Amino acid sequence: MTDSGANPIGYFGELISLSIVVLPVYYGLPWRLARNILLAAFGAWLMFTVAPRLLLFYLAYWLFLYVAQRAVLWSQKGKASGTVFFTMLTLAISPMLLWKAFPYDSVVMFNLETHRLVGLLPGIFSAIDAVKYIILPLGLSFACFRGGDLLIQTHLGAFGPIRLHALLCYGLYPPILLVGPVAEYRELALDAPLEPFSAGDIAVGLANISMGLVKLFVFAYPLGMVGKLQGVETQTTFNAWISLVAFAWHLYLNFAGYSDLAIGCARLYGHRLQANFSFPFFKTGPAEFWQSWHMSLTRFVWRNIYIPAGGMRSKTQYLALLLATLTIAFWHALSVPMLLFGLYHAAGLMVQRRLASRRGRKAAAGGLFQGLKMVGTFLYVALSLPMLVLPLEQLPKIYFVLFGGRP
Amino acid sequence: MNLGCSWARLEAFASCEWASKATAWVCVRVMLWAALFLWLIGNLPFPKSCEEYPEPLVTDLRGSNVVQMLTGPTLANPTGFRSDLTPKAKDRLRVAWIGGSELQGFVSSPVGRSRPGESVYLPLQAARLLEEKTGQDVEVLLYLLYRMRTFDYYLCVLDAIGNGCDAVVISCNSVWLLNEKALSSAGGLYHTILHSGYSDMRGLLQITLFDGWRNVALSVLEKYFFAMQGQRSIQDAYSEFQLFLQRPGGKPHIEAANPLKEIVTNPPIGFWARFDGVNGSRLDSSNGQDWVQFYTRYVDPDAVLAKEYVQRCISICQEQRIPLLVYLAPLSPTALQDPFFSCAITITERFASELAEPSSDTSVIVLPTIPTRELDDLEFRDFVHAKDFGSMPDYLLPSLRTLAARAKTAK
Repeated sequence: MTDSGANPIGYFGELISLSIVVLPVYYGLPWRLARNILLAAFGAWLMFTVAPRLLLFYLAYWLFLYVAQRAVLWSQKGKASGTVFFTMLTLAISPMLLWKAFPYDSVVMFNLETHRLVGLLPGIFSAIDAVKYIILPLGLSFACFRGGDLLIQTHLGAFGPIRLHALLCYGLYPPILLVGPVAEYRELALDAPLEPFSAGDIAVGLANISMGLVKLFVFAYPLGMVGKLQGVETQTTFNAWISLVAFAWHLYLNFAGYSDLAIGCARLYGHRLQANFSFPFFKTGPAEFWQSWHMSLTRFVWRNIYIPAGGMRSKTQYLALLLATLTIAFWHALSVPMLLFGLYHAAGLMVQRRLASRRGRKAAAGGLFQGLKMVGTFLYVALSLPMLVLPLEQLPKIYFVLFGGRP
Repeated sequence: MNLGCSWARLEAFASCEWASKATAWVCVRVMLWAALFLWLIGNLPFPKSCEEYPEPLVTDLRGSNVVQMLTGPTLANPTGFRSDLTPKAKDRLRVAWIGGSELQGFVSSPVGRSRPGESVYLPLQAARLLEEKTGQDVEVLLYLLYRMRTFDYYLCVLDAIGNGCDAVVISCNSVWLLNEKALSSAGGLYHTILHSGYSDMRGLLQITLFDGWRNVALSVLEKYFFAMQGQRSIQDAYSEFQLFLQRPGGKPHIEAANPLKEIVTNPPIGFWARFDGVNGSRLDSSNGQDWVQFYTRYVDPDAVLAKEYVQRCISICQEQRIPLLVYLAPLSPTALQDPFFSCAITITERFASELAEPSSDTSVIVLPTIPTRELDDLEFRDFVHAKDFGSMPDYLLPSLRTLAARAKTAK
């Protein structure tokens, strides 16, 4: 019975509609500082309309990140640099960890405490916040990963001190607030010289937005009516597979659609975010799939988990794969089904890598074989989706039906 | 087949970089065409579904003598009330029936997501029974809104009077009747008639996709338009709570001047948190979990505003000499045994008994007890929603016959 507090399409609708006013002002401002403040204020406004308490939380979070980034930089020359870095990093991702570990209690406390803090502000904010339902901490996972990534990159020397306006702009950047992608700080280039107005950016942005809308409303929405995993265990095997396939496509097109909206909206403001999906269901193996599904998250995990864990070394590559897939799994939820999800995909990746290392490089296979690999990869991924969305007790029943059992 | 080349092309297309060569004039032209296209699509004679909502209700009631009066949001008619009702036929008894989801029996599907044919409607059954027993031609104007609150009852009564109803029936749900605090959350506010008249994203896509997009743009502009006009301050425009009191266009529908202020100062968020509002499965009720059950914990014997609006419904009917029947909706026998439900039921029955106190006006009938205390053949899906209304139409029949007789006398 939670109200998420924001319908993503409503959020993007407001973002795009308000951009009619914000865009000309943005490009009319000849200073980086002013543009960053404008975008931060825009994002803050959108958060405020979800719930004032959510805005208060994120302002506090990104102010903390500002301090944390400075602390990491300051400590780099000293002996305690590692300690400071890990402390700051832990604090940066702890809201997400708490939420995943204690989903119920943390959400209740989050709402109660932030609402109480809003009450310290002038009465109007409290009045508006009062009628807002209990909300999930929208965008928290994305924010924590972005914040964590920023600190890691700072620790590695990629960034100097980031100015407050740039950091707030990054933290409250409107297109990526709600549903990602997990954009890196450097993608937005908020310290760089001003991006000039380009009609091409507007056109590409609108094209991306249009493409996202088509994915959402022409494909994902109807598929969502067919593709439901709840109750599949009561269906016949054939119908269960239909539901599973429809759900898989719905999940992809829904997520990709929102990613396109985010990327398109960012492009309107001259920022080029990297693609988040690249036809994942047409890939020919688990590794290729993960390189094309939620690519922003995969990139994050690649550079911050897989590489540091020894992914490029033959002795530790499999451990690194396991850690990477488990990170991706637990980013969604800390639960046994997600553990199974992570192990399942880790196994697939390990098997593929093992086979590839044994077979060595071969000439590209024919079209039919590629097609079979695509279908196989799709089915392999689709079979993991019940673990992504269903509780543990339902999983045996659904797999029983999928593999020929009678409901 | 060179798949590599094909994929490269597909990915290039998907990246939309082909649009980067566009000039500003191209962008303007595209936007103008898009706006024109949306406008044209929005003006196509789609549907009927714009005026009839929700769909299963419409299909189930088609051809019957029951007319759904609460429509979905449209720009043409943002009030939430059907505006195209045909004039009442002579010698036909027009009865307004006002209530929430308890009027709808969900035979085989979850509440609110039924498909045509999966629901039964108490007003329909009752009207047919009345016709059968009295020979009177009966038309029911159905004001059905989930989680309806007494403020909406009052608006519906006003609309019913405006549509020339001969009698009014109000179904009171013990969960919501005296439960202002639960209903005044932002989520609950979406379930008001007035708010449904705003361009609310929820449910818009159920009407037509194109209406939805038109409303998206206009809803945002409307908020800022009113704010800029000063008809409502920013506080009003952005307090969902204040929107509750205003009709589209900024004209107050009623003279109330922030009567729900005390609810703002005692925010629903505390209620939801205290009563496990996030996850219903944490409830410690003897029946396991039911989200409706924890709503019931906040039924308030001192719900001043709710009581005020019920009194207003009675007053306006008396003033207009329109017979009124107020009855308490049946709840499942397990609700009577549940500690929280039974408390809410007691509070509601006590209030209904106060309404039923003898007065000189015989045009108001109040049935102050939960019918389930007398009827044992109703089947329930959950605490509140029936699958089969059993003998509930017969239970109401004597009162309906009295209403019909008084309506005739009043003419």
